[in-house]
Amino acid sequence: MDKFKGTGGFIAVISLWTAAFAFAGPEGDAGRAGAFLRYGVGGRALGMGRAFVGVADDASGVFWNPAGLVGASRVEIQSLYSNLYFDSRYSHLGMVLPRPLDNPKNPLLRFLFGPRTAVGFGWVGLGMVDFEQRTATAEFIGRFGLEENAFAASWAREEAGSWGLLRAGVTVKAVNQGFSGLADGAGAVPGAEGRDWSAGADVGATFQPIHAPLFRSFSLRYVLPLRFGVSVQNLIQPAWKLQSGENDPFPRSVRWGLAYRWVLKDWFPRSWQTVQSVVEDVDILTALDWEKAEGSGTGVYFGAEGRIPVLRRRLLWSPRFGFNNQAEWMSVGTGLTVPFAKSAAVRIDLAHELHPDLPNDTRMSMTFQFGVPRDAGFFRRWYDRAGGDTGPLLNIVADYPNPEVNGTVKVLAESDSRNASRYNDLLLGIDRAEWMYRTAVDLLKRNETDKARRKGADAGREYAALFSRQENPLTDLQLTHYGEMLLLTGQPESAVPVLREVEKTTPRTHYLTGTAFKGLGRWDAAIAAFDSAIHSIGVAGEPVLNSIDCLSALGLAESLIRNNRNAMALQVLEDMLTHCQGRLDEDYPRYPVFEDGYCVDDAQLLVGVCLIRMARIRDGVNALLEADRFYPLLTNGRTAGGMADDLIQMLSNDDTEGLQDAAETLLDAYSEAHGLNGRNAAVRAGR
Amino acid sequence: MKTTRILTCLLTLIQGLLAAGPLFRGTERDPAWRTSPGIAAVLTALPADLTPTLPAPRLYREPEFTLGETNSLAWPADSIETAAASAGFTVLFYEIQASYDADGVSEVLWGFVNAGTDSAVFTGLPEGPPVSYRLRYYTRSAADGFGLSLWSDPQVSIQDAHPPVLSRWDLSGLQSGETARWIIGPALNHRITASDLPTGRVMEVFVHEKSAVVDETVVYDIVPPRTEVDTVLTMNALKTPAHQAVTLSVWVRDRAGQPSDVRSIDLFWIPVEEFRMFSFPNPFRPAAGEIAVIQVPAPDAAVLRIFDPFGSLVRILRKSDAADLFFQWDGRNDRGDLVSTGGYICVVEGREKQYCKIAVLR
Repeated sequence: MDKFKGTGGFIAVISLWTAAFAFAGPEGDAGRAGAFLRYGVGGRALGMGRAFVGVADDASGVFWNPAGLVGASRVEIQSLYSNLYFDSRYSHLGMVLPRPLDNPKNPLLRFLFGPRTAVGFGWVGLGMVDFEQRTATAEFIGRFGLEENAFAASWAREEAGSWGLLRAGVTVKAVNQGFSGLADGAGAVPGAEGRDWSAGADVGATFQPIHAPLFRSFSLRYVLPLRFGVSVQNLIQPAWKLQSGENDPFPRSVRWGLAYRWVLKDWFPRSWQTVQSVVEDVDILTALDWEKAEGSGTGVYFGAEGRIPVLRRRLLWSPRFGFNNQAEWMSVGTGLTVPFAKSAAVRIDLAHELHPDLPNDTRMSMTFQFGVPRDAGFFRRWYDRAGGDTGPLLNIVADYPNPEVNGTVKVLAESDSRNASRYNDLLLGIDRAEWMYRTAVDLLKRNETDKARRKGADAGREYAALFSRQENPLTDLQLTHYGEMLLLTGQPESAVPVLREVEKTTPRTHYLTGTAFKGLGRWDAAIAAFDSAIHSIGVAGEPVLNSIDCLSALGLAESLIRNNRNAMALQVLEDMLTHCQGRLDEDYPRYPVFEDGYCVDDAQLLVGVCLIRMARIRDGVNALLEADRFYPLLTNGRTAGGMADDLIQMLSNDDTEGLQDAAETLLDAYSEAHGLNGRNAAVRAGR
Repeated sequence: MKTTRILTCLLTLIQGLLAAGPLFRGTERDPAWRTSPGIAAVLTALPADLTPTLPAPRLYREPEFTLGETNSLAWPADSIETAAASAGFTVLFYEIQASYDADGVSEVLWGFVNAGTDSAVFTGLPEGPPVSYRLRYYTRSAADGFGLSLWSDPQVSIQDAHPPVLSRWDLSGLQSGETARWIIGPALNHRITASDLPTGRVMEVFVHEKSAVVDETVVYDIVPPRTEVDTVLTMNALKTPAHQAVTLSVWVRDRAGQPSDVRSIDLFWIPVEEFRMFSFPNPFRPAAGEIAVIQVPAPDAAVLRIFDPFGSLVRILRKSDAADLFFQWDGRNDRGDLVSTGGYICVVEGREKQYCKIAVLR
């Protein structure tokens, strides 16, 4: 939780801090050259309050941030027409071509137009009509109009590394301005009755962190949706010519911001099934921009866009809203993406902006998308084709969540062991549960029991979300793993019904079931389960008991002793001691905890308890003395080995009652050490 | 030798008489101008009992008010001298006299001019009291010797050295911006405030209209003429067509014919049906010093906002005078920067929102 809370908290703090500036109120600082380029294009961006520098992943990116063009999934043609105030028209036409060339072999062409690039084109035009031309004595001469246009072309490229995805782009543009319809009496001036042309350029960049240092302490799940963007508009400044011979340059402006896509299913507990079913595939994109232009105050923009599949996921509905500290301080919008062919779709975006003094108006844009999408499937095919280059896999991960993530992170985790844990954190569904299971087991193997229990709890939640579905998708092995995690976290009552779902039981299944019943104090059921787990002994040859057999024998013996069937317990223990290798193999279940892999001493202790209970005092004491591993378990202040002295002393004194008490004490100590909630024996020993 | 002694005695007598001065001189003032030696010699020779018997001459009529501190008297010298010659006399010189009361003291100015002279100028006359002028002439005949006419009928005139003052001239409904003035409709309503000295009278108002097609002055009488004038004159409508520059000049004149200073204003007028929201000049060039005027027929509109086509605020304007029906824009935004070439939208909110578009050329 902590790892993602940091990300969300960071964004919340930035948002609140910005909100303090957001309502500073508009300054009368407008009227700079090139305002028509700063306004913004695209119904999507306008609906989001013009907070778009970190997004810009559609055809409008030519004017917002050319770097964002690389994020466009498909070829897009976008148009915008809007009636501004008082019959002024504002139009935009744009196009983006992600990966213009499919797989060029020429290195230069590949660098410029290969799969990690995009090109874009755009035009934006402002037209104002119905100006009344009047002389200095207010005489009406006629009507005239004004036009401003910009023609732009962009190129962008991305670089992928384990630190993240860096995209950079440049836009070159030609702009013109002219008046039409001015009567000759107005006199010829630059830009009037002719066209004033100029040129300029913008640059931009976006960065999406993956394993960048600043973000390593956060879960990838909550880092990947983050993007930073920066653009410099008019880095090369266009300028209108003035009558005086000087120039009126377009002010340079720097816009920077961040965008965060809230994958809602990651922000609610997986156990909230109803909520999860509602928010599955739903996310909310938020964006926050700042802009500082020469001669103007700082603009702050905030916007949000929801992405909600509707009509059984056939359509994508995108409600939007935004606000800023400019004159058009608030906007609302909506978009609908409608697929109409196998690989084509159309998106219609509406944006409505509120203005305190001027009539509110609506803008509409339409975007056609077609072609093979540059999505996770594309990168997967690229990886399969290229082989060895994990770059495309990073793109898949960066596009989290998507169906290719599970398969991709497994490959990346193997190739990048340093970040394996962060990659695996992206797993979803059963893969995630199984990964958590393996992690818990690894922690147990390293005797990090507390961490193992926490991871086991996480794994249990993942399994539970799947187990509770109407159609349980878990296999027998996965059910077994689930049961193990329930036992690890001390939930035997939950483990029993899970393990009962296993169709083809194995000795491991029976051992775990017996352990669960033992933990519940249901000795008869435990005895039956352990008995089923143990291979039959006495077949020709001397079969070596495997770990499950040994542990099952110990469990069986303990249950029998608790059930006062001491003689049978002794039989089981003696058989085990005869055939047990002594050391458990690598894959033995470590719950209850057997931290050092030895079980002979455990059996020896139980033998001694049995014998003492059966009034074979001397034999019992001898057996206990051989089980020296347990003496340090006692915490009554006795030193290591002190118990042995007590036993010998009591035997010498013929203190049968004392010895029986000691045996029970040792039995309790054994049960606590190997119970489901017992502490790690090594910790208790101080080792 | 005897003749020489007689002539010498005569000259001495004449000099003595001259030294004694003329018989009807009035106060002890010196003559208003230097008496020529010839006249002085005759005055000296005049008999002491010379009585005026000849017909009185005539002074030309004097106006009631004379401008300034001087006055020029005129008389028909030819006809006087011709008539005298017909009667056998030769006019030697004229005597002119100006008399007035100043602060309760009678003053008399006088002077002599040679025959053949038909005018004389008195200077330093006081402003205010009536000045009475009269004329007579001196003659010589072979039969009777020296002769003297009766005084002419007096002519009276009051000196007026101060022109009237046009202290105020307001055109009703004038919209006065930094670079443009105009009125709605051609009708003119002037408020005139003028004054003169207590002895003066403002008599007329002159209104001059000058444009490319009109150059006309209309005179309006102040009835009755008075020292202080504060009146509203509804005058003829401008004849210059709408939207054309016209210079309107106004001045007043007093009874002395003195004009006041001229006040002028350059303006134009727009038809009443065009009294709606628009801006002019459009497009305008702020870099060249042009100021855009946005006419707003909404007296309650106090604030005008200028936006760019995208709704971004450029400037907030306020009226310099609440009574104005317009706003002015120098082409700068609220930061003080000149805006770029392009189109802008002006919005004003009064009883209802009104809009207009304005273009900037740089």
